Amino acid sequence: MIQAGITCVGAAIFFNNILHFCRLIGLLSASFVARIAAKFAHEITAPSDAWVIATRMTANLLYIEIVDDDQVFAGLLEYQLRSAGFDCRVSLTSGAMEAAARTHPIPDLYLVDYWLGSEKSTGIDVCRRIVSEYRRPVIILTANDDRNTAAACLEAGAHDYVVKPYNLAELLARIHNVTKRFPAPADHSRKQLVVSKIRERHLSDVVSFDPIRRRIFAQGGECLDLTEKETQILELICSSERGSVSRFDAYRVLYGYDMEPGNRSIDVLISRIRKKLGLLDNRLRLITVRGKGYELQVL
Amino acid sequence: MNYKYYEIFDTRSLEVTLGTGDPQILVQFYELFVNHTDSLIADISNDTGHDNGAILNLTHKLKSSGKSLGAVALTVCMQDLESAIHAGDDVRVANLVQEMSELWRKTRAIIREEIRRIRQ
Repeated sequence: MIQAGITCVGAAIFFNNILHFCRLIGLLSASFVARIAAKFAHEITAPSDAWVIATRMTANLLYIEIVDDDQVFAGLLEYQLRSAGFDCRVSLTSGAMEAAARTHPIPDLYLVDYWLGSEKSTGIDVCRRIVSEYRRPVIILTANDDRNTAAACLEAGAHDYVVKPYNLAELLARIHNVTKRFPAPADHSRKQLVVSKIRERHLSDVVSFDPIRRRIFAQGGECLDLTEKETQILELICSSERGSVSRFDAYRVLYGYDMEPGNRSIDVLISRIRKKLGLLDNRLRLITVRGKGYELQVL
Repeated sequence: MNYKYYEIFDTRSLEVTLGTGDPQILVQFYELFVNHTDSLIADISNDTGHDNGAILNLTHKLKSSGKSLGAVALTVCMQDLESAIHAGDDVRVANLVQEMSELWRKTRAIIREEIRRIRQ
């Protein structure tokens, strides 16, 4: 009787251990599978540089207009915003801003200088007009750190104000907040915009690329124009942190949808760019790297 | 008005403001600043003694861009000039405009030297 009891307890312990062992194996295998899945999921879903840029180019790229009569300050701000991934234009006068609004898409957001010193209308008047006519959010930039100025900005309908000299991180945070609260209207469509992190980039020691003017030029003064698509693809390659862009990513960025097998559009564009680069500097090559895509190299 | 060069101009400011050390970009902004400020300084000098409102507008502009580019002493001078205009102290305004011209001459020389250094 006692022996049978001991046997039963022993058997129970044995089966319990077996159960624990199985659980452990299960957990380990589940963890292993999860890790493998995560690895592949990352490889499949992690956005490449090109896709991040593409997303900004099509859907999320904010279009900001800076209205400031100080050419230097506006230029610095434009550079900072472009570097942060926004698309920008600068109007040095309220007249220029109005003219731009007639011929270009209305921006998602206006950054207006409070002073607009040499103008007849101050930033406050400009702000009122933007809010009433264009119905877009406005952030006023002001050097005056006093309550009266803040009150004047808000009374004029400004959605926020930033005191100069501003902290860039703070300005960007305020831009995000305002545009989140006041998104562009649904009918607000615009063409694809090219992300221009830089005005010019050196492709080699003799050739530079100017994405704004859509051209490549040599130090000697020789200059070749690029088409819109050629500019976009070259800019993609230059902006990519990996220094390369695959055919599929390039196609998705340029045309907005996935490339079908056998489509040669990107190859044709690359071939044209290669010819142009070769004319200016025969050491500069746009090569195809297996598994990576197109990459610029100086031989 | 005996400033040391680093009290007049901070050569690191622009790089910090832009977040890049790209020589081409730096030179581009330095040159823009020099040309822009040359004309502002001339306008301020011309307006001295008869149009303090216009001077106020111009000093305001110079203050913002000067600070971003690193023109430390010039920015302080612009702040003093604004205060003197607000206080209606015409004698001090005239003195500060003179000081401003002298400071700009020194600042411009440092910037040109910096441009030359970057290009090398």
